[in-house]
Amino acid sequence: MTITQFNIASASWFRPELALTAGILLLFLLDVLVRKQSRYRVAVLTVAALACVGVAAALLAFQPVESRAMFNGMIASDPFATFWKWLFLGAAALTVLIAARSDEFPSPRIGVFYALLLSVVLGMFLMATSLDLLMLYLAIEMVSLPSYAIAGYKPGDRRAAEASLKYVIYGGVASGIMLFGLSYIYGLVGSTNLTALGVRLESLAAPASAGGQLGLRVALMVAVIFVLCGIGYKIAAVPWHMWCPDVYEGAPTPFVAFLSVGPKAAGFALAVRVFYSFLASGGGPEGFARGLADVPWPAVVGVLSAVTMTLGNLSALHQNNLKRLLAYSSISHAGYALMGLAAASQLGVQSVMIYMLVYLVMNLGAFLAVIAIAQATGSETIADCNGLSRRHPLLAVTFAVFLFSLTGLPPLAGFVGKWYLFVAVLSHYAGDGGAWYVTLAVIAALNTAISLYYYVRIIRAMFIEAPAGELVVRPRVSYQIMLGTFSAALLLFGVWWNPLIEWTQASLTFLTRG
Amino acid sequence: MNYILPGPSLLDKLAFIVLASAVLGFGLLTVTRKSAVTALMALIGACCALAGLYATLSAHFLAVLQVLVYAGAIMVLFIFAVMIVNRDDEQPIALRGLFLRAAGVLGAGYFFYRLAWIVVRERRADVLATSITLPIPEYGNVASIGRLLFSDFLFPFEAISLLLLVAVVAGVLVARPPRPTPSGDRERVA
Amino acid sequence: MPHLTLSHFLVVSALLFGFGVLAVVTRRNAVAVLMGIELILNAANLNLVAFGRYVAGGISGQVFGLFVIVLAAAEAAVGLAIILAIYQMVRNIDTSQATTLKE
Repeated sequence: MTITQFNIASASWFRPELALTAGILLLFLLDVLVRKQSRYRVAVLTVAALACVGVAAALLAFQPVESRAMFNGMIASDPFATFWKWLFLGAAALTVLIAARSDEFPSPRIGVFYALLLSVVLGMFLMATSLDLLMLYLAIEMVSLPSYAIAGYKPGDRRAAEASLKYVIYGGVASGIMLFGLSYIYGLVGSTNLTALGVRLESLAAPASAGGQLGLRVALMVAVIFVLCGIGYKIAAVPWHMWCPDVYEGAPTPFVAFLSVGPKAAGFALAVRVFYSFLASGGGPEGFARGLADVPWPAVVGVLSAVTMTLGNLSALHQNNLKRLLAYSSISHAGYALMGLAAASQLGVQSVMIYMLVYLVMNLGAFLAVIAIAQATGSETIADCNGLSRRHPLLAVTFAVFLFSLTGLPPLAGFVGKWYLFVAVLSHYAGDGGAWYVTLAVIAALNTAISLYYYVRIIRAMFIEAPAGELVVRPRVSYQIMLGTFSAALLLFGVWWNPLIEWTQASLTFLTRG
Repeated sequence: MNYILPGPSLLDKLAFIVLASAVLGFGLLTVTRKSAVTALMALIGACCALAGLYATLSAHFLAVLQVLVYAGAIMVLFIFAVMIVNRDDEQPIALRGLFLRAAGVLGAGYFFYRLAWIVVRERRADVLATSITLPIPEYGNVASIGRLLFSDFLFPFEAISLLLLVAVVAGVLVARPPRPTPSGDRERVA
Repeated sequence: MPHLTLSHFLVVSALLFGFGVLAVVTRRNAVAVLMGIELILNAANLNLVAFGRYVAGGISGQVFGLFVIVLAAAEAAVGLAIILAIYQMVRNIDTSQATTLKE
């Protein structure tokens, strides 16, 4: 039974978000108050941003863990949301740490960057918790709008400006189409609330109304496809991935690192909440397979997943720019994670959560290595990695760890993530459409092999190619610490993954509909 | 007072025909006109006609806002942008790339085919064929919207206020040109 | 002509949506593409209001529409700001010319 709380009473389950809001406003103020040319400007603003994330995390830790709908059924508070909130806060804190020592944010601009970053985080919180069509749309816009601006952040940089133009146009179209789909869903069920929506859709899909309501079901199908369009754009799945390489190449790298993990994870959280806990007729992810206009949605998601990973990997093969390569690699990783959604089971959802958690660490690590390389060489191509193992062994070894983990090789955490996705898909082996699930798994395995090729290209450049010239590579100390910690974490959780399983298992409690 | 009474009256149908054809005509002009200024003027016309349609649906407050905010404020933004970067399209209708062209035509064709199918087939279905009834007197007026806005929709209302602030800062951040200061550092923006 | 029904409004909004998508795919001028996005949002709004009137029976559709108008304003502001920034740099806002990023 859903507990619904009204406006004032909800505030105590809403403290982390309030802390983030206060942090955004505080950073706007500090940005104006701290002197522009002061030496301590970056330090003060960074500490403020980290403090805000820290306070939000502390409040999140002390928040009661019960499922309830808040603010008249606008957003949810449940263990599932809490899991994603931790993930978002982690990504935000690491991004702040990376950006503080990056060359891409001159000190006058860093305050606004932190504030906009925190508003993206707040938007992702809302994405993972929204229970209402309106909140869903609003949350996506809240993630998108500041992102557009940060993508075009480098003043006077033509690449950055073009990247943000592409981003805003693709983003505007995707969210507009999604809104159109949402308006149909609203019309079909007469309510914006997801809780009411699921119940109403069930009666629409009931066999009794099968004959006369055919048109309504077609409308529902169109609506769901349109909504998928908006979500696919956020996770950069294939027909909606075109913005991704350009934005990744043009935008400031620390923000790209965040963009490749944060909004993607938020998109998955949103997809799970909408499609598995509310629209799925008859409780739980399994219901998704049966419900909704008699379309085999898991098959649709499975095809999306196969196309996404294949296209991402094939496009990554001939990239020479590291950021573009990682962009295509992040598209293919969205494809892998979609496998978990295609499995349409509790296990599938859990495997997506594990994968996004591991992916957060390894992808942030890979981008951090790219930042460190770019700081030394001034550009970010594969040729810049030549002979890195002799110039800075730590950087080369940790980068190799991240790349092997992204490939999914044991004993790294990337393997655990991928393993659970495969298990989720292959557990359907004996069931309905088992052959298709096996096909999907085979395609994913082939893709892993393809991806090994381009990841190894970088590793080969680092360890085998001769260094060109006498370039000194000396990453900043904080970067070295982070590189070391990230790879240690990947190694640790690659052999001892019980905590990941337990945590995600405990977070599988959704707020279910009434 | 509902001046355009929603009901099966001749006047109502007449209003719908005029307004709907205005919306669609202006919409088509927006897409097809070469000149950005003309297209923009057509878009403003479409927005105003839409406000009329809202009024026939008894959404009076929204109709007013549509004129004030959409046709007023947002379109003024566009006018500024068009005036600054006034560049007309050489080929107003030129789909880029064969694939995109085919996909666009096929997608649009399928969509309209489905739509026509629904309308024709479901003509008798109860939802689509419901004739409009007279609403309660306060339907769609300021008081009822305000009551809903500050009760059920209070949270999104607060969230959107923060979003607007963020959007303003983001817009200023992007649009202001960088100017080097004497120390060589970029000027602070926003 | 038969009575005014929901389907009349749905057809208008679907056509408007189609025009918006057409503008997005065919126009090369970035401002014109943004205008196409505005058409899409307006089409969705008409849907919301019409559904609210005929199906839901409440005014939640209108309140939704209100929020969409505000979000459209925010999006237009950011989008046009980006277009202005590009224009200041390259004096050209043809989306097909924005090709520095392509390899």
